[in-house]
Amino acid sequence: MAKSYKLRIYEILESTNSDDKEAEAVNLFMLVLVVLNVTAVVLETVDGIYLAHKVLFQYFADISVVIFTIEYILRMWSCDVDPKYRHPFQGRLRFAVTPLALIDLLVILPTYAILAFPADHMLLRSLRLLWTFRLLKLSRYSKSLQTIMDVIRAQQSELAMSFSAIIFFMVLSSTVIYFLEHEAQPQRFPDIPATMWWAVLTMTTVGDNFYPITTLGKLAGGLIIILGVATFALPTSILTSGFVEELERRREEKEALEKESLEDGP
Amino acid sequence: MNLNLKAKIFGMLEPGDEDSKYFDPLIMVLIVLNVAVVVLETVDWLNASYGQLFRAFDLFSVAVFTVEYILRVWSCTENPKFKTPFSGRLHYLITPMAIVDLMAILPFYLPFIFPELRFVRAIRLFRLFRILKMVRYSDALKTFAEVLNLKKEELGVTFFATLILLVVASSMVYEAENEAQPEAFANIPDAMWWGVVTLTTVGYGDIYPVTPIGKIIGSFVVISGIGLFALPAGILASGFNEVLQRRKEKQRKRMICPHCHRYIGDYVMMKDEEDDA
Repeated sequence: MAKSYKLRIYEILESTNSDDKEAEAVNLFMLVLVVLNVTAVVLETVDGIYLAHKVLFQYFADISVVIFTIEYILRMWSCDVDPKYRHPFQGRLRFAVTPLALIDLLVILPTYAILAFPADHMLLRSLRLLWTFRLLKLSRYSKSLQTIMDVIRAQQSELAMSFSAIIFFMVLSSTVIYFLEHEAQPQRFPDIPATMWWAVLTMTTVGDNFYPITTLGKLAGGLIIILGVATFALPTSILTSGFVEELERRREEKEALEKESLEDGP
Repeated sequence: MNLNLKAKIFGMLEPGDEDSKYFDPLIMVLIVLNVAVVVLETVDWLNASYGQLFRAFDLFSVAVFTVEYILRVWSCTENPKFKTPFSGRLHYLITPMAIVDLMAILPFYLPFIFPELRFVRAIRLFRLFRILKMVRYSDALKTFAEVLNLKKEELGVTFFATLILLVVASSMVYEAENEAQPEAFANIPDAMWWGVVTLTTVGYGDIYPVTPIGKIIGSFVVISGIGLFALPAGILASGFNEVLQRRKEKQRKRMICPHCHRYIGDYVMMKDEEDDA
């Protein structure tokens, strides 16, 4: 009896089956709760809204944490249904350190930490930051976020490569510009780290109010901008092509499935 | 014995070798720390409190890199390409990586030969070129170099077209704006700076056209030029894709024994096969 309860709860919580109406309903409820939570965290920082509805925010946060805690406990309890985490203790431990389980824990942890150490204001402030982790809970319920995660995972070596090329280029170009501009604008380009900020703003084409003014600085700057904009655009195109690949793969899979079911049919 | 030692050191210095398993990470960490020191040294308050440490570290790194350089030149004859003791070593000395290695240590020694160089700040910044030593160890940078090499013709053509557009556009805007803003558009190079900043969509806003004609010309230039300036990014990205795709396909060319269905080795494509593909 208890076994089948556990199985059912596991199915509802971890379901990927869209025919399961109960699981879909729970999924939708959790999705809405997470979105409302994130909205609350954002609105709380607006003084006018927070001061007027302080009690409401507090109640909502408390209720949410209770629900998230129950969800976490149920997940931990039922995870040994999955053959991967079958062992009652070791299996649960391994489940607890999966990224999604860690996010679930991080979401509820701040509230309990504050209950345990009520007077520590520094702790309180830094823990409030953890609340934004609630947004990450979305990745469990949202298909599009899962797709993005899949794409990033599939392209991680390419992305890592382009990022190291970017860092390499950034360090090199900031040093050159620092060397050419420091004397003319010691305020704007006081040291290489500050010049790196210039490099990031420029290469992402955001463009701020500081730029090279010496002739040599402009000459080197022009070259660096042309090359740098191309380098900084690499992750974008890698992600784009990764996306196209992933969607293509999914479409092909779907078509293959449909074909199969047609052949199997009467 | 002497020969064995040389072969051992050669293997140790060349990355990817079994012998270099412990040596590679050490050099890599040293390079990264060196770059960090060059960057952080320019921050005044850091330099004030840790200047001593920075200089001691620099001394240590130069010592290590010098020993490395000497060992590399000594052991390079193990490579069949640089076999002969004298002309082979000379050939090795002018390979790009050997020049980078030399540049990494030269800034330290130059002021001893030319004392007046001691006060030139640029000499200190030249140490940053130690970052280029990273190319030997970093897969990413090697890939990047490969991409640049693969796409050099396309990139060359685009840069040439970009340059032509830039010169023409800047001259036109200069003609239109010079009278109204003799300071901002003082000469064509100044207008070219405007062109680069605008066409790459950075847009600092330090100089911009103000006359109606300048604005009209500027608009045409921007609308037609933005696409051209975005081309290098696209070429680089597709080159990246191509190189990585090719690598993945090469990895897939694994030979499976038709009888026992076990992996028995890699199938390396011959040059002409590669051309056919």
